[in-house]
Amino acid sequence: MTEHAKDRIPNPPQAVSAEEWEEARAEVLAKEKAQLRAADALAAERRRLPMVEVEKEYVLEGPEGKATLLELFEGRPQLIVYHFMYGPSSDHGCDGCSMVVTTSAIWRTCALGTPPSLSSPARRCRSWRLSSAAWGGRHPLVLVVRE
Amino acid sequence: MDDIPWYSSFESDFNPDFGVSPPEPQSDQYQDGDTFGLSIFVRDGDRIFRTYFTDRRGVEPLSSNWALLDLTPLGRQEEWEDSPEGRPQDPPYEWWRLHDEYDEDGGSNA
Repeated sequence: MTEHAKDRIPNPPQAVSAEEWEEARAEVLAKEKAQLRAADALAAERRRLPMVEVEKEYVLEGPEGKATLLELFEGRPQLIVYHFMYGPSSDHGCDGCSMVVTTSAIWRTCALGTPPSLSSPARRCRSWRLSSAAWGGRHPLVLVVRE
Repeated sequence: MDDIPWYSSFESDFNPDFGVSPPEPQSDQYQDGDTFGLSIFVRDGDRIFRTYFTDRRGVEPLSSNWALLDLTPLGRQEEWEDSPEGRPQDPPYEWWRLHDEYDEDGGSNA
């Protein structure tokens, strides 16, 4: 980040009255709503996508040893897999993937919902499982790395 | 991130079959040519189906970073963005660091 950016934004937004700002914001809000509705329509299309059967049996290595892709579902009907960029000879995962995982919206929601008594890492892990169950146990987030 | 259930697909066809890794690791490339993506699977009893895949910027919804930065006047401060003249911009990706590799001010120390 360049030096001047810390005290002040270069070429900052124009300062206006609250009324003028509200008017300008309303224009953006209308476009934001249109964008949301378009996103809803796209999600509806996604829900109607066809699917392809996974013919092979894949065996992965997880926290409790070997696990098949089927076992990753943990009895739930849906599975979200993030394929994390992590080459076999690398000593750390991709910076961007690490940032994504650290700031995952799903993950953060669980962390924020953690009562203070569940603050140790081991407890957080349990809390994550609990949160997962609280969503009807339908959406486990699983990260797959190739190391 | 000890709490995340990590699974390794080492020596399986999983990542190559789903289009995020080369068939064999490429030692001359970053992360051996491995890439990233998001797959959605559903189950019908013991049968598994893939319903969705996205990669590159398609994985942005997974993180809150970009959505939040897109609400600010400075944005992501990346060169490709349409920003008012004079706002700081750098090449994309290069400001990202592992969480303990930023400098004291939170800058990328590039």
